[in-house]
Amino acid sequence: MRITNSMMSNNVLLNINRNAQNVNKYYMQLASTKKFLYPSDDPIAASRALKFRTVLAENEQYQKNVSAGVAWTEVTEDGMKEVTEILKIIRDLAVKADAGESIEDKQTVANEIRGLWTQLAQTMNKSYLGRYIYSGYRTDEPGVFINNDPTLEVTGITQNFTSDALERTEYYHKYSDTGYTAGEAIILKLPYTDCDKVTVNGNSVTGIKSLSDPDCYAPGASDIFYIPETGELVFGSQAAIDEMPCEVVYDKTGFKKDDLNPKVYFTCDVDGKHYTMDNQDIEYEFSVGVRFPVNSLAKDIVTGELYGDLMSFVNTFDNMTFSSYQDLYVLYEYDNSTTPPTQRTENEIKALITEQQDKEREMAEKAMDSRINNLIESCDKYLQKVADEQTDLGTRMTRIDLLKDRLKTDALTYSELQGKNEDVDLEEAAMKLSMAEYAYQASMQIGMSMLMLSLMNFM
Amino acid sequence: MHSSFFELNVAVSGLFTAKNGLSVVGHNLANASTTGYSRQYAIQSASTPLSTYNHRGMVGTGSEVVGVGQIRSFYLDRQYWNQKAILGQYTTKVQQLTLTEVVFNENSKTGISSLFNSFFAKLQGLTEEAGSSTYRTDVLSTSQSFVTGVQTIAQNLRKQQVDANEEIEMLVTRINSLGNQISSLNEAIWKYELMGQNANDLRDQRALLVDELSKYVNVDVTERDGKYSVMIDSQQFVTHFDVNELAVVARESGNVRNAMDAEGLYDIKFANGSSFNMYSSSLTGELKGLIDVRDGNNGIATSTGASGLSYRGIPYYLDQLNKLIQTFARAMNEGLDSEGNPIPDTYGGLVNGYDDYGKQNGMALFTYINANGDEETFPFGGGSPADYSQMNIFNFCLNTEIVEDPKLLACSNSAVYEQSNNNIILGMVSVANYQSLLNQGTLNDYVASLAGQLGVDLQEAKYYEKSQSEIVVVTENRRIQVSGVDYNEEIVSMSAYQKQFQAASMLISVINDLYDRMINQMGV
Repeated sequence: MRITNSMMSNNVLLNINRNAQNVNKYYMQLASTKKFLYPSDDPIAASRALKFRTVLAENEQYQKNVSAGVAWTEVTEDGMKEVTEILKIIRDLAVKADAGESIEDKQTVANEIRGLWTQLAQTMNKSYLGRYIYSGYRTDEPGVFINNDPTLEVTGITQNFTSDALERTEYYHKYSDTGYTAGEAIILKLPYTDCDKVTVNGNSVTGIKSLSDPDCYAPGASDIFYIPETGELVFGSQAAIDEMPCEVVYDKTGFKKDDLNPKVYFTCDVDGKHYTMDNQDIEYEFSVGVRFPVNSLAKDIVTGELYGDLMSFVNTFDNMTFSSYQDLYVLYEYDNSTTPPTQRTENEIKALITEQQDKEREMAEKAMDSRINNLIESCDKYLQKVADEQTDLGTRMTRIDLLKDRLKTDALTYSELQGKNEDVDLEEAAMKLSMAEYAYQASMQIGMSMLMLSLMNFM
Repeated sequence: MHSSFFELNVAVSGLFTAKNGLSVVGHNLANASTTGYSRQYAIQSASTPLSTYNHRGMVGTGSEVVGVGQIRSFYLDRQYWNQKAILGQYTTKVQQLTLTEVVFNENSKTGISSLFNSFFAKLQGLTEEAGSSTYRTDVLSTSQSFVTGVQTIAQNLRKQQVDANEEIEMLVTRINSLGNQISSLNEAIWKYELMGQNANDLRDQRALLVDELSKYVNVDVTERDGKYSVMIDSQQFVTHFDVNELAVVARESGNVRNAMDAEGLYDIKFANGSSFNMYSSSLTGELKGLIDVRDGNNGIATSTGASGLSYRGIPYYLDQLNKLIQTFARAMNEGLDSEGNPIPDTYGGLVNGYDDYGKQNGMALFTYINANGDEETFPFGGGSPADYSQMNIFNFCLNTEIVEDPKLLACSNSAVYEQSNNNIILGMVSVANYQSLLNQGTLNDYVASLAGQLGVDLQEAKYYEKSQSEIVVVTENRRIQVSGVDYNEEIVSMSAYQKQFQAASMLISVINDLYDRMINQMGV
C-alpha cells in the first residue's frame, strides 16, 4: 500500500483531534462536575435527571405544605384544648351546684356557667392568619356572631337530632305571678330563641306556647310545643317515641352577638343561597396523591346541641322565680270557693302562703337538681365528643409528622440519586482526564516526529 | 550509415528527458500541499529508432517526453463525493440540533419542566390559602413567567428556522457559483484537450470544485467523450458548458407549509422553471440537513395537505409545544385530559369554579389572541366542547381580566361563597401528576420525552457525523494513496533523473573526447 505524506498528516490530525475531544470531554466534566451538560450527551440520564429534579421540586413544596399543615393543625388543637378545659370547668361547677345547699347557691353557679357558655362559643372564633379556622372553607365567617345582626334573615335552618338529644327532666314552671306548674317534661333544645316556622319531620309543631301559658311544659301525648322565649321544643310522651330521630327545620330573623353562625353550623338558606356544611374539609396535598384535611369544624366541637343545652340550662335557671308574699297574700286573702268569697284569717292566709312557697321551692330544687344532673351527663357526652375530634385531629397530626420525616428522607435519597445520576466521580474523571491528556500529548509528539521524517533528512 | 554526431544527439535527448522529468518532479514537490492536486508524471518513451542499412537492425535514437500524465481515480472521486454529501448532512444536523437543544435548555432552570415545577409549586402554595390575594398574585405572575418562558423557547425555535432558511439561500447561491465555475472550467479543459494534451491542473481544479459541491448536495458526475456533466440529486445541473441554476422562491404570505412556520420561507426551483424536489428521499448534503431541520415535521401531513417530511425538525418541536400548551390549558381551564375526558377531582376546572366574589365567571385563565387580534373568551371557538385548535404557542396568553383582578381566579367549587375553598386549585395541582393526561403520561413526562427525543436525535446525528467523518477520511486517504504526492518517491525519482542527467552529460564528454581525438589529433 502506498502511504503518502498527506495521508500520514491526515491520520495524525484525526488522532490528535480525537484525543483532544476526549481531553475536552473530561475537562468539561471536571469543570462542571456534571456527567452531561446537554440531553444529547446522555439522553437517558438526562431524562432521568429531569424526573429527579421534578421530584425534588415537588418534595420541597410538599415540605412547605407540611409546615403549613402543622401550623394549622396545632392552632386547631389549641382551640380544642380550650374547649375541653371550659367544658371541664362547667362540669365541675355543675357538680358543685349539685352539692349546693340552697337554691341561691345553685343559681349563682348557673350564672357562672352563663359566663363560660359565651367563652366556649367564642373559642369557635379562633383565627389563624386572619382566617377563622373552624368554619370549613368559609374562613371569613366566624363560628359565632361577633356583632348583633338584627336584619339577617335565615330560612330552612335544618338540625337533626337523635333520641339522645331529648332531655327528660323535672320542670318547675312559673307562668304568672302566683301560678306555677311542675312535673316531668321531655325537652329538645334549639340553639336559638325566637325562631319561626318550626317544623319537626316536615310537620308544624302542634302549639307555639309562651312561658305565660300554664300548659307549655305539659303537651298532650302526641303534641310538640315550641317555646320561642327559650328555644325549647317540648315533646309529648308519644311524640317522643314516634318522632325520633327527627329533623327540625326553622327560620330565624335577627341574630345577637354570640349566637351560632348558621352558615357555619347548619344547612340553611341565606339570600337565596343554599348553605351546607357537607364537604368542608380543607385539604392540603402532602405528597403525590396524599391529601387530607387539616381543619376541624366548629359544628363538631361546640355542637349545636351543646350550645342549645347550655342556653336552655341558663334560661331555665333565669326563669325560676317564686311567688312574692304580697301576691300570695292577695291570692289567698279571700276563699273564692264560697259565694260571696269569705275573708280568711291572718293565720290561715300565712299557712297557705307558706305552704305554696315551700312547695314552689321544693319543686324548683327538684327541677334544678334534675337539670344539673342532666348537664353533668351531657358534659361527659360532649367532652367525649371533643376528645373524639381531638383524637381524629391527632391522628392526622401524626400522619403529617410521619410524612414530614418521609419527605425529608425522600429529599435526601433523591438528592443522592440525582447526584449519582448527574454528578461526576471527581477522582475517576481526574484520572480519565490525565490519561486523555497523556494520549493527546503522545499523539502530538509521535505525530510530529513522524511528519518531520523524510528521505531528505538522509541526502 | 547514420550521420556523424549522432551519438551526441542521443545524449542530448537524455539530458532533455532528465530535465523534463525533473521539472515534473519539481511541479509535484511544489504542489505537495496544494489541495486537490494529484501527482503528475512525465510520460517518457524511447524516440523513434533508425534502421541501419547494413541489415543489423535498428538503432535507438534516445528518449523523449511525450506528455505529462496525471494519476487520479475517477472511481475513488465518486466514492469520496458520495460520502462527503452524507457527512455534510449530518454536520449540519449536529450544528442545528445543538442550537435547538440550547434553545430548549431542558437541563437548566429555564427549561419547560422547571417552569412547570415552579408553576405547580405556586399553585400548591395557593391551596394553603385560597382566599389570599398575595398567593393568587403569586400564581398569576408565575403563570405569566411560564407563558413567557415557553414562548421564548418557541420564538427562538422560529428564529432558528428563519436562520436555517437564510442559510439555504446562501447555500443555493454557493451551489450556483460552483456550477458556473465548473462549466467555465469545462470549456477551458475542452478547448485545451482538443489539441490532444491532458489539462491536468485544470482537471484538478474542477474536481476540487466538485469536492466542495458534494458537501452541499449529493452529486453525480459523468464524463463522456470529454463532455463533463454534474447532476444534483439525479437532476441535471451542469451539462458540458451549460448550467441549470437553482433559485429560491419565497412562499407567499399566508402560504405556509406547516402551521407554525415563519412567513416567506424559501422553496427551491430550477431557474428555468422546472421543479426541484426539495423533499426527495435521496437528497443528502448540507442542503438536506438544513431542509430537514427547517421543515421536518415527523412525517405528518402538512397544513397544505402535502405529505410530511419525516424528520423531527423545528416544525415538529413547535407542533409538540402546541400540543403541550393546548393540553395544559385545557386541563387547567376545564379539567379535561388530552382526549377530552374529565380528570378526576378537578371539578371541571377554572371555568366551572367560583371566584373570590362568589361568582361563577366562567373565565379561562389560559387563553389566546385570536385571528382578529382579540383575546379569545371562553368557550373558545364559541362552541361546546371548547375548541383549542386555534391556540398555539405564539398566541397563547393569560386572561388579562384575571391578571388585573386576581380575585377573579376561580379557586372554589362552591356556589356559596367560601373563602378557603381550594378544590379547583387542588384539582389543578393534581394535573401535575395525572398519568393519563397525555399518551406520554404527565406533563413533565411529555417534556422529558420531548427533550429525550431531541437528545437522542442529536446524539444519533453526532454519532453519524463522527462515523461518517471517519469514512470520509478513509475515502480521502484512499484517494491520496493514489493521487497524493509523496516526498520520498519524488526524491527517489529526483535522484534517478539526476543520475540520468549525469550519465548523459558524461556520455557527451566521452563523445567530445572521441571527436577531439578524431578531429584534432588524428591525420594531419
